[in-house]
Amino acid sequence: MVKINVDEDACVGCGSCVEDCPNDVYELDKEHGKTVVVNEADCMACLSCHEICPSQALEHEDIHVAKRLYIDRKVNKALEKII
Amino acid sequence: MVKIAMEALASCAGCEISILDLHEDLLQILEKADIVYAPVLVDAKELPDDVDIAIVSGSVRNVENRERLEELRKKSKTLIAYGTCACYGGITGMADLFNPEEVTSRTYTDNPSTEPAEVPSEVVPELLPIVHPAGDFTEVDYYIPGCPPKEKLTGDILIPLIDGEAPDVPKKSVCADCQRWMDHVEFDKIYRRVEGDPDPQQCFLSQGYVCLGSVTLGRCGALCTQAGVPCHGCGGPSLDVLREPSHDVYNGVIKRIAHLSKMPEKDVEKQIYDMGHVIYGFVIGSTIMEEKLVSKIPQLVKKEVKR
Amino acid sequence: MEIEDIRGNFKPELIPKETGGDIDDYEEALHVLMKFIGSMSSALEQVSGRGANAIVYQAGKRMGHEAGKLMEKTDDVEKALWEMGEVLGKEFYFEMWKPSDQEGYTIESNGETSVKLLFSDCVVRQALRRTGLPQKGPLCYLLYGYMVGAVEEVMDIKGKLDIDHIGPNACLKTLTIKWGGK
Repeated sequence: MVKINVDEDACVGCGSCVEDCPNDVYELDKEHGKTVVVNEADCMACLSCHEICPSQALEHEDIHVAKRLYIDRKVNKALEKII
Repeated sequence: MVKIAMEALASCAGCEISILDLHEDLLQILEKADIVYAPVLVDAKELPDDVDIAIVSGSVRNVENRERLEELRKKSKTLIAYGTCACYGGITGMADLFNPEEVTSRTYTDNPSTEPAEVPSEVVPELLPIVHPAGDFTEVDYYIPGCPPKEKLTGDILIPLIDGEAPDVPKKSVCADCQRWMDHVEFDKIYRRVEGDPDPQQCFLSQGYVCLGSVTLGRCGALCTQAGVPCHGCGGPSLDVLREPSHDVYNGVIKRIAHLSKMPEKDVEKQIYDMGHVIYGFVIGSTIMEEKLVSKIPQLVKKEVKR
Repeated sequence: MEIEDIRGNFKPELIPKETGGDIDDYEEALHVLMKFIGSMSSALEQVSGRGANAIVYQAGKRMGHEAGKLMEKTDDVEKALWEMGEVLGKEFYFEMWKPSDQEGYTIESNGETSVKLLFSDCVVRQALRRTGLPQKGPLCYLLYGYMVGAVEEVMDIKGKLDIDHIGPNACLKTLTIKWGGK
């Protein structure tokens, strides 16, 4: 079962994820200017929301993570060393 | 005692000073560690042979820088590339917008504010054809980007490292720290940073300013945007931009502005000014960023023509 | 980077070590191929415009028909898809998907059956992301063609595939099947 965590401190309230999600998983809480997850069950883990989120506020737990063999191993190695 | 050495290559020494900014935390570090070599901070003239943690800042611009870096690697157990210059070439990478002859002539023979002199043939080390980050020449154990890395971050990283533990610090973009709110607002003009009077609460991108916050690694507390200045990208690319070959600082910003303003991407591109400085100011020297097929860096860098 | 000249002996009856390579060689070959494919796709699009889609679609369809011939014929969409998953394998890992409030995977309307497919692993997507090309372009028609070709072969019907949504981790497509022969 997919679980989505929203980092509320990070979220800038742009609503891009709400707009981009084809399955209406998110809704914008206008009062607080933050995204809330309203329909977790329909998330298909396409991760379009990760791509559009400017503040990297979203995290998906327990999803099928697609292979990304196209990323250079050299880049992966450098990424691991960044702290 | 853990032996720490610091070396500044082609840099402003701001990174070393940022370590002094640890203030009282510095005392906590000095209980367990000795700073055995750091030209900016202590008097030692020679690098000892058995350094535990070597912190190198700055990029590799000339043969001397390269030699110092290689010596540092040889004599240390852990080598940390500290600061954006050491990680991605940083602001010094902008020298790549000119070739080495142009750089030297500007300094020695053709500088409008000094008396012209000949290019020195000795003592001054020879320039390399382009600026390199430290990782281009040696194996680096850790990268800590930031210009400079903020004192809180440095403390959170250095203290566990000295204790032999793995540091756990956030790795989100600048937007994650920024308190401005991002809005979808239709507009068709991009402003230069000196123009207009931006709203202090609203995201710069929503107001038509080029802000690199969404494509830049944060942990800086978004100090610039808080002070009313759009992000210049001094923390280097955010990790997803670095990782994905299809992502780049340039296309990331263009897409974001087009998305928020409903402007066609082509129109945004036409209005982007001074790309080498505004978009790639801190990452021109990075091989990873340059090798992306979507990168505009190759067309900006002036490489020396070998005759 | 220095390029090493690999020298060794070669005999027709053996596979000498020198023809293989380690993971670095495979990575390089894979990435070069991805770049080639990406570049070919954008060139196709430049030269033949929308015709590029048709060319790639045809190529995929041919592959689909070939693959379909190896599969058992069936009338059951779900069974056919399950079998196609096996043949397409790990590099095109897909599963059927439905919104949480929908009962079954298949929807029947106007003599057509449609089913939503979620493609998680996809070599095409990887190649596009390697080269920085947008998704949903001509190369995606390869998978279109492949699925349609395979379904047509297995079920003896006519099918079509539409992309509903693209994402970096998965793409949602709708497979529509028209009953009543080719």
